[in-house]
Amino acid sequence: MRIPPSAQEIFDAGEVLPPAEMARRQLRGLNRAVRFAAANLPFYQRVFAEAGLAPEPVRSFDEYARRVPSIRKADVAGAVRAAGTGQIGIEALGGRRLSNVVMTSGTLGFNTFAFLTPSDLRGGSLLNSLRELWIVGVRPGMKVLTLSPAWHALALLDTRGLTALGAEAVIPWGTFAPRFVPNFLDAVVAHRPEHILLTAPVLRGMIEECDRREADARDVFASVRYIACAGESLSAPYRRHVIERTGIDDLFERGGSSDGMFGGGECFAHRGHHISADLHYVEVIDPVSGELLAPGRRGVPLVTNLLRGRSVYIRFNTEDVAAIVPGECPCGRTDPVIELYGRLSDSVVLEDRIVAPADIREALDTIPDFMGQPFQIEHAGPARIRIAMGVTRPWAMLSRATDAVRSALRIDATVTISENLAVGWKGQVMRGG
Amino acid sequence: MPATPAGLHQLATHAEREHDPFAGRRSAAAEPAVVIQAADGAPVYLALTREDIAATARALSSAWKTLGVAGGDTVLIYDYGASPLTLFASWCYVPHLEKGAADLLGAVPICNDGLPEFASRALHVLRYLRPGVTIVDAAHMPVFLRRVAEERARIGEWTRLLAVSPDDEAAGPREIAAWERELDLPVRLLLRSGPALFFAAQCEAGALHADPRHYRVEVAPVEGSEPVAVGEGSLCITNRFLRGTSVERYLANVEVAIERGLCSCGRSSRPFRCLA
Ligand SMILES: [Zn+2]
Repeated sequence: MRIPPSAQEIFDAGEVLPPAEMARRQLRGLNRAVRFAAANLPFYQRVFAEAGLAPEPVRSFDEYARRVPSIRKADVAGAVRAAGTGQIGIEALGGRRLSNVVMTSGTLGFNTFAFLTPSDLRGGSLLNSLRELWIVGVRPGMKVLTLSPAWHALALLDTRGLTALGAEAVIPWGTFAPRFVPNFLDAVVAHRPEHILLTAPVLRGMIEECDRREADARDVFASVRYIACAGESLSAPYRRHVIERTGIDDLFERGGSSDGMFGGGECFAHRGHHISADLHYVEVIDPVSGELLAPGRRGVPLVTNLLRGRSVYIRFNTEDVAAIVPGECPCGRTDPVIELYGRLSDSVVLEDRIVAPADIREALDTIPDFMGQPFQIEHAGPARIRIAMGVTRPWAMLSRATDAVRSALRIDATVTISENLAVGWKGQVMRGG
Repeated sequence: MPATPAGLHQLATHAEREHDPFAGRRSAAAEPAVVIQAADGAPVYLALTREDIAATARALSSAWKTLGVAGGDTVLIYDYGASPLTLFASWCYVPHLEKGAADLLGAVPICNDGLPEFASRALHVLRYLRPGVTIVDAAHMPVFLRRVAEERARIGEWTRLLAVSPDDEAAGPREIAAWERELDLPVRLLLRSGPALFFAAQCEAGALHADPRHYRVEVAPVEGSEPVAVGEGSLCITNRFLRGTSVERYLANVEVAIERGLCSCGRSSRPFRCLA
């Protein structure tokens, strides 16, 4: 793959296709994906037969949404359970040599498996990785601090992307769990990286660790130009806070779904995730009616991978809350921008809207004492929500937080303290724990 | 003059005193492609060139081969992604590697990551992917055994060999026999030392072998003594392939006995075993 000059914002021409051309290619890719699955992949043969999918190609995205059945995590997990094996008939390997198996995030308490071949890891998935690393500021020859939690697809793709970019990688011991945060901070001090790839809870922990050590975060992060975080959405106040505290040039969010095996980074405009339209098609549907939603409207994202040589997901419902961001992006890319707001199961679906974790985070992060603190949103009435916080704060402060949520979301809300929020190994709130 | 043997503690002390994460072992001439931490909790790093990364993967694959990993096998690794046990297993686990141990042998790796919380996920992989060989970091064995007992899993039906990998420490024959009894499954050692990027595997005859093309192994009979080629004492490793980092006479925290004669398995390297 050809690497562009460092100063260039766009990685390749595939990101700036005229929208009509992009749509034409996507429709062709969708028909090809469905045709391939119907002919070769037993899992989809069953799903398509049950839905009575006719073999004729679709002529529009509307028709695609109406005719092609969607699948969910539980369908994939159920197939693994029923088959007694990780290989369930979604693996479009086409006789190619298998080189890697990864696990999905296991958000249902059950990890499924994805299979990868070198042909995809040198082809479509590598291109996806290069665009994503490029958009979050990784450039050839940069010293990048990263971990390789190699059970996860993103780690494998980053590894191949960093290789292609000729980056120098610094790999401290550990994984993205709180116990390793001091070690990551030591690694930043010892090796002076220019870029860091990590998760949001670990970044939060590193800044707190600076405070514990009474170290100036600006000194600690003096060499670092960019940080890119995966795993959860970052609020605008939090991004400003990190930039202010560490003195880095920019903080980027990376997002997607390890279950649907797609993802993308934010550009400098921070409007959402640029998704490579020639590699993945993402649509947003109403979680109740299943109706295809126009840009700007919130629903759940469904992904169809347009790639082969790996496990493929067709109309896979990632069960997150998302919207396609309307309008042109100042970065010049013409591929779709998808904003992700958190898991649907962590959100409250009201009559006329979905209140997602990112909405609450955005409001709470305006108050320093609540920034980054774990919470859970609960349904408290037809148009009412309650936000249970995992940290103890004085009453006056809770009332300030309540006001912040009410005025930001224009919703009847109360912020309270809950003693029994279960926090997972990444520091995230476990729903129903 | 041959180097004075030094262990991880001395390297860590040097690293902290001199503010040098490479503990004086980095070669100034070689351009590193990847820098990795030598061990959990130690402020010691290794600088690796592209050639070093490829050679480390070859050394790991040699150990895998001794364990009987073959083409078509799935290999489960229950350890951190940042551990050398994982990093050099696949061309997708560490940057600038084109063939990992699995790729060299035609096997397919899957990593479970290394938190104790992931023991049940290791069983999940065993249940649904049936790896030919399962590699578990020795530190995870207590939690792994507990999960196996709790889930009443008969993992002998899911994998044909469990390779237990102690990092810079020993595991004796009694311990291995106890694991074999408890799991009803053949268990072998995959001894490793992160600070020396060293791998040695137990052969079918029960002896440990380190590939002599990759390592010179010696023993230091008593603390401060000159290492010798044969006998009992602390394992002393010289890594022959690293260029970015010099590993000469690294003193591992493992007591071993290196035998004079050859092993009945037919391998040309001197067999050695861990002393309990
Ligand atoms: Zn943009």
